[in-house]
Amino acid sequence: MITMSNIQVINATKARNDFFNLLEKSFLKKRSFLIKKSNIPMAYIVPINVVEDQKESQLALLERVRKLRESMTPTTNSTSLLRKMRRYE
Amino acid sequence: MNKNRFGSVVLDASVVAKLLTKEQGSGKAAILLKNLIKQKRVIVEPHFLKIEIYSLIRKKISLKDIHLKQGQQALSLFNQLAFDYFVESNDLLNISFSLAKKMSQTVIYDCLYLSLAQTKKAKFITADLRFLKQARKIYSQSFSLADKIKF
Repeated sequence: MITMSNIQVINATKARNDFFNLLEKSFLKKRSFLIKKSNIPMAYIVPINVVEDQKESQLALLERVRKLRESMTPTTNSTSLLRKMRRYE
Repeated sequence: MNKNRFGSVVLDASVVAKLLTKEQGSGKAAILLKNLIKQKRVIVEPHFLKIEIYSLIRKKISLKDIHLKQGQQALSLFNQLAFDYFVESNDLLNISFSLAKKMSQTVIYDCLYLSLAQTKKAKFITADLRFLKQARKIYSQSFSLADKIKF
């Protein structure tokens, strides 16, 4: 998982000027970058395996959610509960 | 490059809730999430989703629908879902307010998800068919759990 501790923050101008270097660092050294423009976070450059790993871990997480659901008896419909909580009904 | 590969999605709390607890529509919500993850879609959510899901789980515990431990586990798993959260900015709240007025909604909760979808040009998916009927008039990229969604 990407965490702020292993992400290098860089501004957009530096990212533009140094793009191929960042791309290589990301691919070869597994480094991640957060690109900011006017101090607003705009985009990440992350190694491709981070995305793949996240997909696998999220699918595994869904399996744990499924097992938890299976341990439950059928519950009240969330849509109607939410409508009540949102004060529609 | 297939630009649709990067299409993003906003899920209403009604969809996420069905994923976390056993109820009518849970299976469809689980299949939807699985497909979105497999397709590497970005799931964008307002931070308000957390408040709604925590409240909903608390409610189901108080209704004795689920045990406390099951609720805690559901929240722990929910917090590990890789959603891209957005804090509700004044702009987003103002858009939600305008949408609620257009749709004759007395509150802005649903519209918060819809306005985020509109702003991010994302697909909006809800399990609330009553809201969906109105949402479709405002935003064509609004879908139910039963819809086949093409990116």
